[in-house]
Amino acid sequence: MSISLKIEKKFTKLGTDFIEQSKKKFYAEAAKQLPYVIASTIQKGISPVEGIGRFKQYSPSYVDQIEGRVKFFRKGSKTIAIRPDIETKQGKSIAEHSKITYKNGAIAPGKLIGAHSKLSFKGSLFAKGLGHGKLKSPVNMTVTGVMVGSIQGDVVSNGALISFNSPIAKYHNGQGRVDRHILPKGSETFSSLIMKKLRDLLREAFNN
Amino acid sequence: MDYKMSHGETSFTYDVPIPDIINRDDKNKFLKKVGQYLVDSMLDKIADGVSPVTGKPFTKLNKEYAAEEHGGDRTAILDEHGDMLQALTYKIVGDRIWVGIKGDEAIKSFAHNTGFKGHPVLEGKAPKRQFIPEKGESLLKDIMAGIGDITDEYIA
Repeated sequence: MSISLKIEKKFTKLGTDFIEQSKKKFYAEAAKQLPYVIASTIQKGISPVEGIGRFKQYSPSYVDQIEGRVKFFRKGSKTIAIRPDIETKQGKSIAEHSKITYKNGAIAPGKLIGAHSKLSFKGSLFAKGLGHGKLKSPVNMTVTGVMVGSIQGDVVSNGALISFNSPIAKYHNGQGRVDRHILPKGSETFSSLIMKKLRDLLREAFNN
Repeated sequence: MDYKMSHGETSFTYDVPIPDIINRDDKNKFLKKVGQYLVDSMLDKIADGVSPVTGKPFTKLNKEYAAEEHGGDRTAILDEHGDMLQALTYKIVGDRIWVGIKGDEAIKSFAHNTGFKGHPVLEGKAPKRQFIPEKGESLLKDIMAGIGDITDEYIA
């Protein structure tokens, strides 16, 4: 997933060599600094894409997973939710749902199937990798940091290319269930916060 | 600017200098852009543990609390569960932009911005960590300068 930057404005009053050199300087600086600026903005919980602002909070069910209060499993066509913190005489409580719903921060069971002490944890769909070091706030796309860290900038012919190498990145840009855009796509632009930093780079390139 | 600092609302309303050259359709887009920019910039500073009003770092977290809740990092980012900062938003009111927190989360914002004014136990003990300007104050110059850049986009 990537975006390329290009200066399209015409500078009629400036010398051609100066303009070309300044453009090159800007592209080099943008390729070097923008990945850091974008990654740090994402890690602060703010989308670098215009109009989004702070990333949407996690759903209560996801926060429960992060905090280890609930684990979800697929059993055939059904989803099973386990609350390890709630034990019954028979074992941990289990709720079976065709669709998990939450009300006031608690599971609203579709059909409670009682309790089970020997449910296999094999085939966990959502719980893997969570529960260690993940913050519920700010929502900053960081479980291991690999995806955010996969951002890179390259100078390409007549521009700078900013991209995330991680294949997970595209799921945040509209291919997942919740949009938490980390790069502009289509007609979108960078947020004014990022644009301000880009303009500062542009000014530096043309002033030196 | 207008200001409000109460348990139900902590906000400021900014009179945006709108150039005459901006037409009616663009004016709304322009105001939205400025509003989002102000909120993003405030969140950006807060996430660095810096007041977007004074530019000074927030008072560090208590050592024990930081060890227990933040892995020892004492930077105060006002982001425990995220509900208060999630409520920080903007609204276009005519030609002005309202920025702040209204409703249930405003009381937390009031507490941080005033140093827990009126609190029976914490007033005078818990630190003030201001992120909403009050009368006679503004957001940092660096933040306000970005509005000029946005204006340039519309008049260039």
